[in-house]
Amino acid sequence: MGRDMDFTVIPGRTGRRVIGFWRDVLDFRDFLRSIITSFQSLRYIRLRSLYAIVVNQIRFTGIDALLFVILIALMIGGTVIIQASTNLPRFGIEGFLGNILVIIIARELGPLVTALIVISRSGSAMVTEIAVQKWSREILSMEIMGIDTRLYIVIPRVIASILSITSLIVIFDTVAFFGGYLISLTTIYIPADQFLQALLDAFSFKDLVSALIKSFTYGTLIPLIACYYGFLPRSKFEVPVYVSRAVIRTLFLIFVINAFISVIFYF
Amino acid sequence: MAFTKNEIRVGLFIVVPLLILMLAILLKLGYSIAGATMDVYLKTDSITSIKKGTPIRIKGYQIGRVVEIKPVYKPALHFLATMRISRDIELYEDCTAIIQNQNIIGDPTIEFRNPERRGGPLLAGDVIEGIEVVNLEVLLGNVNTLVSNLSSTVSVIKQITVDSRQNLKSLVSNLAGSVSNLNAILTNSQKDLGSILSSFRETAKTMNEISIELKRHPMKFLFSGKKDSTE
Amino acid sequence: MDQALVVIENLTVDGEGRAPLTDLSLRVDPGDSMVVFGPEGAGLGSLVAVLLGIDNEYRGKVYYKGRSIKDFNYIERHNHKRDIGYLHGDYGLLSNMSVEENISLPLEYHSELSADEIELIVDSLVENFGLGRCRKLRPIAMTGSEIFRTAYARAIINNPDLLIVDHAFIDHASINIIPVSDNMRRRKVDPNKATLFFTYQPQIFLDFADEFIMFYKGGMVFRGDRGAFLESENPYLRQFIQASRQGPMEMM
Repeated sequence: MGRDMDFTVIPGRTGRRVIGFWRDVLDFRDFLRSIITSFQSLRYIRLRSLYAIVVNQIRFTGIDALLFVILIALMIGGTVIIQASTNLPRFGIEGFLGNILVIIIARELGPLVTALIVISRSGSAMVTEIAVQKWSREILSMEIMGIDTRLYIVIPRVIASILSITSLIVIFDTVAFFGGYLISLTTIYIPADQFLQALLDAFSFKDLVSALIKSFTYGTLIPLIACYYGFLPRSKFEVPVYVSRAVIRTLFLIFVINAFISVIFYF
Repeated sequence: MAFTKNEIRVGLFIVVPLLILMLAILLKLGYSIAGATMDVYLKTDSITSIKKGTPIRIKGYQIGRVVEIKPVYKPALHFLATMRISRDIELYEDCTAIIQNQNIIGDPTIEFRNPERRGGPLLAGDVIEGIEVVNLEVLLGNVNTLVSNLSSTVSVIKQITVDSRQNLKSLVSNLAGSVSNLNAILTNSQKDLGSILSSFRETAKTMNEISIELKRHPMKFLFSGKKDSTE
Repeated sequence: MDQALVVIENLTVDGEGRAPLTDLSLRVDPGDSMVVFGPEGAGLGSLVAVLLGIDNEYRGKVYYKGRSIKDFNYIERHNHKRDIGYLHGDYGLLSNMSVEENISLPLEYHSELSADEIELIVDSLVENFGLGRCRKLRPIAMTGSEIFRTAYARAIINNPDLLIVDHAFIDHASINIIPVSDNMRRRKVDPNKATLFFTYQPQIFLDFADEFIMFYKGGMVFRGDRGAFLESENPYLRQFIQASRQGPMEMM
């Protein structure tokens, strides 16, 4: 009997996980549909009521994260330049340093690290905030006021996240380039004008489009997933469970999407 | 309408990165379509041969000048010369830049040579390793020695006889021809400086032999007219 | 029916997770003030959900101002909720907004009034409900009665024809909620306004209501005016008022 059960455990668990995952996907699809349906409310909603939420969300997602982003950008920029200048052939390093920076920081690390920071700070905060609002019946209270909560809660956060992530990526890249350059001066000398020129040469409009697409995709997905999981908890007990699930799944999804966009653009 | 502190901070947070982005785009656009020249860099260990204004040529045709030379202290002292060159000339990323002299007494020049197998185009900001093919001071020293030897040989001959002036004339004219040939070689073909130097050595060797022969058998040498200078 | 605010005909609600309602009929006219009460599981919550248009899974007919709530489209459903003033026991003030932001939210979202006009209305409500002290404060820094007054001010900012007070108005010292009491008295005598109080403590609303309706297990077991409420020997009513174990109702 015990042996028979052993045979069923692995397929049983796998099946349950697959079904659970598929159910989550379908639920998320329904959530997205409800968001799309809520666009009908745009016809009569006064956008001024969303303004304060957008401003507050940008302050939290963007400005409050700025110091953290700048410090990480400095460290990553400095590390990349120092590693490149010490581990690659020294001959002609000035020429391809721009390429290395653009490839590693602008194309990959900038958007990815910014997304990670936003997920861990703002994504988790959004899930918690919405879950607590739901639990304290604030969301119900808004719905009963005739407020389309799907639109009122989700859309301003998506707008704020897109703007914040785009700004953060630009700031991250700029700080990583120039802060990293200053840090790298301790180990290798590269003239500033030559460094800037190398950056400009290496930077292409494809990089710009790719970064903007990443900003838009991350800025849309992070709050969408956070809001989806924020609406799910039915009790306080479930809040940390869904916060954790939201963060992990968003992280995974962002890595997959980052790889996907990079393959489309650069492969 | 008064804005809150929050609104102003958020506005700056959006506008400043937007300006950075626009600046980058403008620089990139301006950079791509504007200048008829571009700056590339020449990396060299010493700047004895080049200076600000040194012409840059390809196949003898001037395509630009050195506009700036900066020392680089790390990891070891070397120099970066900024070469402003015309975009009209097709240059490739694996091209070579040879620091050389136009002739023995001429100014130094940087000669570009495109590679046989052409890769990507040479872009602004690229760095090329400079190759110095001749040490002009050594070359001039050798020439100086040669001329001194010639001068002493001629004075020895002068002392030996006045009758053999005709032969001496031809010897001197041969030697002069030899020097002018050397000059011509230096001017026209600086590629084979090794062979030029060996030619100098040959000439010096021959002159040495003439000198020895003159000392040993002056009469036989002067009146037989068999021996001659060799290049 | 033409003049009625709400008409409910043979309303039946059943299903998992909801207190049932069985074949309920009710009419609410402008000027009515009703207290709807009963023990847990009587169906009060189900009736509120149907009236607000949150729950559309029912049998029977429910009309608001002559239109079937079930037939509302997406936008009309939201507008219907906007038109009804609703105050629930948790108050539901948004914790990240100040008093004035909470009060002005329905107007900011729905109305075409200018910011200055909205501010004037908010000023008036803040003054009437004695909220000057906490105007810029968030709920976390406010007292219980201030939260209640703010929630009430928000519920009536659209001057609704129908106000639903759902298990609110309890656990406050009367002296702290005088502005709310005054406003409810004014509504009671206004022939164009109706108020429905859903509560477990109907006695609190004697001053504000004319009619008392008791539900038990989804059915109406008592209906009468203030006098009947005070004097009736209805066994359900007596058992409920006296909080007695003796009577037709079983304890949940």
